[in-house]
Parts: sequence; C-alpha cells; structure tokens
Amino acid sequence: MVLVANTVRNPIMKRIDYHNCLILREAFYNREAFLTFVYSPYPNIMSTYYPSRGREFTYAVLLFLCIVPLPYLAQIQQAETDFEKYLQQAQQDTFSLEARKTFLRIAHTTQKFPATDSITYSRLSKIVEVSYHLNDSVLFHEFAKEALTLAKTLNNPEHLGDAHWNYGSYFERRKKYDSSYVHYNTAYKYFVAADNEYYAAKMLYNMGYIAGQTYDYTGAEILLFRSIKIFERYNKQLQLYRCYNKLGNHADDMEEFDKSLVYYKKASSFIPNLKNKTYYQLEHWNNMGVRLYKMEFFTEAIPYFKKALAHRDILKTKPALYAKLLDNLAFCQLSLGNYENVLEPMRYALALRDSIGDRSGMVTSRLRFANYYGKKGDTLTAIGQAKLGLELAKENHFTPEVLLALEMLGGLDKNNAVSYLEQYLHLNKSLNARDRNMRNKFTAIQFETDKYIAENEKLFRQRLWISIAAITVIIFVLLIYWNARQRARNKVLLFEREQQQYNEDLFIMRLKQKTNLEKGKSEERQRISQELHDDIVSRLFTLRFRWLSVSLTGEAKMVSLHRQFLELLEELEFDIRTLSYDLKKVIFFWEEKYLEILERILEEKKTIGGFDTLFECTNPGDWEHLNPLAKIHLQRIFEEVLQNIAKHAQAKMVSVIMSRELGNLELSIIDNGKGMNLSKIRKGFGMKSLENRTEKLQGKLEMNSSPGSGTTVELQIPFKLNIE
Amino acid sequence: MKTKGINILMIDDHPLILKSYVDVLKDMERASERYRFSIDHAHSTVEAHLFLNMLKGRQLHLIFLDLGLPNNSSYSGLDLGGDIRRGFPEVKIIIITSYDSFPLIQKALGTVKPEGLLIKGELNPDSLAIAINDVLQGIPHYTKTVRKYLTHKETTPPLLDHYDLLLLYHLSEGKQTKEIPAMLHISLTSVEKRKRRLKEILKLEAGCTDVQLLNRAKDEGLL
Repeated sequence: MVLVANTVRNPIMKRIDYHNCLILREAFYNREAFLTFVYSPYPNIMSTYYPSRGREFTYAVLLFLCIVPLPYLAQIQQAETDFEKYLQQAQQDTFSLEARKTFLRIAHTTQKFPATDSITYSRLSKIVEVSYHLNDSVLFHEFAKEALTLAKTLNNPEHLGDAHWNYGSYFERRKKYDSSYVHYNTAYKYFVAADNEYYAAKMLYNMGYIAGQTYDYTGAEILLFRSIKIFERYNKQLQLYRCYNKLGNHADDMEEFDKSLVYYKKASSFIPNLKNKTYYQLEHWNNMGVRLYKMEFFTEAIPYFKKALAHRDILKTKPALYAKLLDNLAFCQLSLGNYENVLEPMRYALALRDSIGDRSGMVTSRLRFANYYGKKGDTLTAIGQAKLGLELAKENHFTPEVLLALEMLGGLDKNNAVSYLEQYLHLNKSLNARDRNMRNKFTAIQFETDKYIAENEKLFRQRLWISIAAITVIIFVLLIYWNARQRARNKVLLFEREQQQYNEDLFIMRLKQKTNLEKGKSEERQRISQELHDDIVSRLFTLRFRWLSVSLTGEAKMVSLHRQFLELLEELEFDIRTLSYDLKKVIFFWEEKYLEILERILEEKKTIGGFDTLFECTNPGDWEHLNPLAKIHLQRIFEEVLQNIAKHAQAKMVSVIMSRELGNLELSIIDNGKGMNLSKIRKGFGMKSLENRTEKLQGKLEMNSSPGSGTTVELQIPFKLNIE
Repeated sequence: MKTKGINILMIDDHPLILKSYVDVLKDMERASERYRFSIDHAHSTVEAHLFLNMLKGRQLHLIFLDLGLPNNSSYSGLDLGGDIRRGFPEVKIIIITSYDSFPLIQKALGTVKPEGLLIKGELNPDSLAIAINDVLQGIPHYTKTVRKYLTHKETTPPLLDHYDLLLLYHLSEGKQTKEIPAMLHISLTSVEKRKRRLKEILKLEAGCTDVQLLNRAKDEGLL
C-alpha cells in the first residue's frame, strides 16, 4: 500500500514541475496579474470536498430585497405578487420536486418575457437560479437559454456575466469542469467589462475551485490569490474565509501541511466576523482534524472532532458536516486500533449521507467500512463494501475515490489483485492525461481572457487618444479660423484707417495749395503795387515836377490850358498811387469759415435725422484758429456723433454748443433721443475712431446717456496745442 | 547880401528825380544870390554811407532823403536817416517820400526828426523851393498830409506803442501774421498777444477777423 501511495504521489510532483512552467507563462502574458499574485514557496497538495460557493448568499439577499417591498407593491401589480408567490413555493422543500417544478413554470408564465428590460432579466435569472436547485437539466437549459438570449438582446455586460455564471454553476454541479470553467471565465470577462470587480472576483474564486477539482493546484492558487486581492479591497470576510480555506484544502491535498496550517489559521481569523460563526468554527475544526489525520497524527486529530461534535444542535441542521465529523472521528479511532464504538457512528454517518444524497460522502463511508472490515479480518464483507464504493464512485465519476477503491480492492482481494492494480494504473494514466488536457485548456482560456482584457484596455486607450487628438485638432482649427477672421477684420480696419489718412492728407494738401495760390496772388499784387508806386508814380512825379520847371511863354489861354493838363497829370499820379495802395492793402483771401462748414454738416444731418437744431458758438475766432489737422479731426468727430444721432437716437432736438473755458475749447452735442446703456455698447469702429481722434487732439471725450434720457457728448481740447 | 555856400547830399534811387531837384536848386540860385549850392548824389544807402565817410571835415548842410530806397538788407532809408541824425546832428534833413502812411510818417518823425518832410504827390517845384528856403532858414516844413498827421497824433490812444502801430501797418500791407515776427523782431506769441490787446482797445470781439481790425484801425486814424 505504501508502494502504491508513492506511485500516486510521483505524478503529483511531476504536475508541480509542470506548473512552474505555467506560472512563468502566466507571468509573461499577464505581468500585472502576476504581480498581484503572492507566490508562496510551498508546493501544494490536493483536497476533495468543499462545495461552498458564494452564490446562494447573494441570491438570498436579492430575494430578500424583492420580498420586503412586496406588500407595498401588491395592490398595484398583481403579476408581481403572483411571480413572487410561485417562486417562493417553488423553493419550498415541503412540496414535492414535481410540484416545485410546476410552481416555477407558473412563475415563469406570469412574466411577459418578450419584454426586454433589466427587471425582467433579474426575474428570469431568479427562475434560472431556482431551476438549478431543482436539479432538472431540461428545465434549467430552457430557462438559462432564454436568460442568455435576453441578456444578449439587452447587451448588458452584467446580465451577460450573470447568464454565464448560471451555466458555470450548472456545469460545475454536473462535474463538467471544462464547460463550467469556460462559462465562469466568460462571466469574468463580462463582469470586468461591466466594472463589477466583486462579481469578477467571485468568478475567479469559482475558477480557482474548478482548477482545484482538476488537481491544478498552482493554477488554483493563482486564481484564488487574485480573487483575494479584490475581496480584501471590498473587505468581504466570508469570501476571504472561503478562499483561505480552499487554499488550506489544496495545501493539505499536496501534503504541504505547514502551509495548510498557515492558510487555515488565516481563514480562522475571519470567523469571528462571520454571521454563522459557530458553523464555520466547526468546519474549521473538521479541517484541522482532517489535516492531522492526513499527517497520521490520529491521537491529536481526535480532540478536534470531539470538540466539534459537542455542538450537536447546530450539526442537526448541517447533516453533511455532521456525517463528516462522525466518520472522520471513527476513522481516527479505527486507525488507532480501537474497533469498539466505531461501527455505530459510521453507520449513522452513512445513513445521514444517504438521506441528503451526498454521493461522495457515501463512497467515503463505503470505503471506510471496507477498511473497518479489512482490519477486523472480515475480508469478504470488506471486499463487498469496497466494490459497492467502487461502483458508486464510478457511477458518479469520482475518480480519486475510484482509484482509492481499486487500491483497497487490490490489497483485500488477493485473487484479483493484479487485475485491480492494472485497472488502477490504467485509470491513473488516463486521469493524468485528462487533467493535463484540461489544465492546458484552462491556461489557454486564461491567456485568451487576459489578452481580451488587455485588448479592451488598449482599445479604450486608443479611443481616448483619438478623442484627445480630435478635440485638439478641432480647437486648433477653431483657433486658426478665429485668428484668420480677426486678421481679416484688422485688415479692413487698417484699410479704412489708411483711407482716412489718405483723405486727410489730400485735404491738407489742397488747403496748402490754396494758401500757396493765394499767397502767390497776393505777392503778385504786392509786386504790381510796388512797381506802380516805385516806378510809374516816380516817373510820373519826375515828369510833372520837371514839366513845372519849364517856363512857358505864349497865349494866356494856352498857358492856363497847360497848367490844367499838368494838374490832370498830378491827379493821375495821385490816382495811381492810391491804386497801388489799394492793391497792396491786405487782400484777405476769402475762405469758407470753419464754423460754416460745421453748420453745413449739421444741416445735412438735420434732414437725415429729422430733428430741429440749435447752433451756438461763443468764440468763433478761436475755432477758426485751429490748425487744419485739428479742424479735420474735430469735423470728423462732429460728423460721427451727428451721424449716430441721426441713425439711432430718434431725437427731436439736437443742440450744438461751442465755447471756450480757460485754455480749453469745448464742444457739446446734446440730443433728446432715446439714449442708450453705455455699458452695453459694443465698441465699434465709430467709437474707436472717436477715441482715436480725441487722443490726437490731446483732448477728452465724455459721453453721458441712459435709456430714455437722451445723450450728451462733450469734447474738450486744449486750445494752445491745436492752434495754427 | 552875402552868398552862402550850401553843401547838399541828395539820396534817391531815381536819377531823373535827382535831376529835377537840381533844376529847382539851380532856379533858386538864379532867382537870388543868397545861396550857392554844391550838390552831391547818392543812389543807395551804401553810396550815401561811402560819401558821408569821405567828408573829412567838409561841412554838410542839407540832405535830401528818400525813404523808399532799394535795400538788399533790412537797412532802409529810415535807418539811414536815423544814423545821419546821430552822426551829423547839425545837418538839416529833408525827407522826400512817396509813402504817406501814418505809421511810417510817425516813425520817420520819431527816429530821423527831419527838418522837412515832403510827400512827393503834394510836391511841385515851387513848393519844393519854398520848403528848401524854410528849412535853410531853420523853419521846419511839412507838406499838408504830414501836417494833418501831426494833428492826428493827439488822438492816438496812449496805450498803443510803436510796435502796435507797425504791426497794424504791416498787416494793412497784406503781410501774414506769421511773417511779422521776422520784421518786428518779436515772437509770434507776442504778435498774437498784441493783436488781442488791439482788439480789446478798439472794442472788438475777440473772435473778429483781421479785416475787421484793420478797418477799425483805419476808422480810428491809426492807419
């Protein structure tokens, strides 16, 4: 037997070596996941039973949540209550299985399933859940398929995850571990996509459980640690307890007892925080006992089982654990050579297991009976019990138990020992091959999942970058557009300003030309006058003067006529001199007066704006004396303001008052129009031009206005700075 | 009656006029034995200066001075008259001019203080002879326009100074305000100031034009 046990252990060690490779592969393809995984140096061993999963609890909560508000909704939605009622009845153990199935079908028909919304899905999911417990694969497949279709229609990753979870649970129960693993893995992907980390961690736990079931302890350890990482973040005590418990079981199975002790202790640290702590404490003691008897410390194991069995009240509601404890205690005592008071608890355990349909427990019981009878020397009965166990195990595909039974039969049935051992070796070989296959499959799936997640992340990052790039490009284009528009506007303004400057220059030039012309004219007159005076008059004077010196003789009449002519000459001389003076007299060239220009502008605007005007100037001379450029600026300001009044103000009366206050010339333009809110006026070209020109005159421009009370524009310019 | 030798310098740019003056003097010599004239001519201020510098003690009795002499610089007949009056206080000066404007006459009277001031238009050989006689006898002789101005002088507002009158004169001559500073050697601001003061004195509005000012000045006899 020891020899056989060795042959069992060797393939396990091989697997461990193989799994070191897997860890490296895992690490290579999923570095992130690997970094979260705390690798322990202890190699693990196998464990069989612990069918605890986090599912029922969640559904209990869901159901609870649905039941609590039920009375309030009852009157409104009869269908709801019907659904809840039938669903509850379908879950009650008191009814027969067939009746419960019928109730479930009725519950299903109360829902209009063509409806596609999340509420409908959650109800359908509940029905699937119940059908899973009713152990009817036809019923389950019918509902589960519908749920999956609905989830696909809704395209909600959470629902899709849930649908696959249902399938995973179903296949797990059926011990179709590869299908189950695939569904859990798919569910995991969906939960990750839905950002539901807690459920994703549960899927990791389930996958870890399945990996454990197929002796892929290293894979299981990786998965469990990944789920632990998440559960710790959410502080899920029960889940953490289960994870560490599972890790302990696996360590036990790999005969790494030091490691399993560490895990069990860690698991027990969560027990005080759990709701049903006594039960978990008992379970913990059972695990500790099992660990010890596996180490063949039977004496040390017995107190744990005895301690646990003292809580009979609790154990009555947990027949599976109760049977386990009884059986394990009996086995320990038997191993110590104590054959009395052993058979009774063993039988009781078998009866318990039979009543709750615990097949695997029943196989264990049978093999323990075989062991008992073998030790008692009743080989025939022992062989009978072992064969019963072997059949049951084969029936249920409990491969490890089949191996154990074959091993025992090989020891007991000396006649057929060779045949049993051959069977054993053959099965062990095929089992190894199957496990290896499955592990490869799991690794491949795991790898695919990681790749999928990585790809998703990449896709998301890509999309993010594309959006950022798009936004940047849009902003850039907008900026360019805005800049171009601004530039075009500036160009227009610049052009207008240039135009204006050109006009002003032209005006000044014309003015200068006119002045020059007038000056030339004046100079010419001056010259003519000078010529007349200095030359003609002088010569006339000389002529007359000398003529007078000529003494005349002759007829008195002739002499008198002569004198008369000379007097005429003198008169002529006088006239020419006067003419010369008159020519020389200032010829102030006539020029349109500045105020007249302003008045003319006012007249023009008056006809456009349809208002009356008042024009007053207290000091016309000062305004005339402004230099031409100042005159132009002032005239443009005057024009602009009046233009605005004519266009917008709807004034009845416009007064223009021009005056001088000390060194300043003041121009006030007052209208009684509708006025405006100055703070809301957008500074347009006109306004800018006003400011610009005022600045050039080194003056000040003030505007006072409010809606309904007209507008007053006051311009002040320093006289001296703008004089000719 | 003893004949008196009279040395005369005649300054005028028109030789014909000078010749007419000489004719008058010769007639005077012929008419009486009282004076014997020794006559020299100068046609410009430069020639006049040259002559005066070359006198060397020779007594000069009488100078005929035309104010409208051709002047390449700002040195006018008036300035020449002033210099002669300072350099030769004894010499008798007769200004014969064709200009009859009040400021000029006034200025001539002020700076040259001539013994005779004759306006060409009012002159004939007889009246010139009378004037020369008067002056040589120490009696100042002015033609009637000048005499009229002499009475005018009283009505001139005492607030006006020499520059104000010149300013008005130049303006009336058709000069522009900005040309005046160069002629009167005063700044443009003071020209403006004077114009404003003139308008105030003549009771004109501050904003009135120069034409208005000149018309008013003429009415007041300032021109």
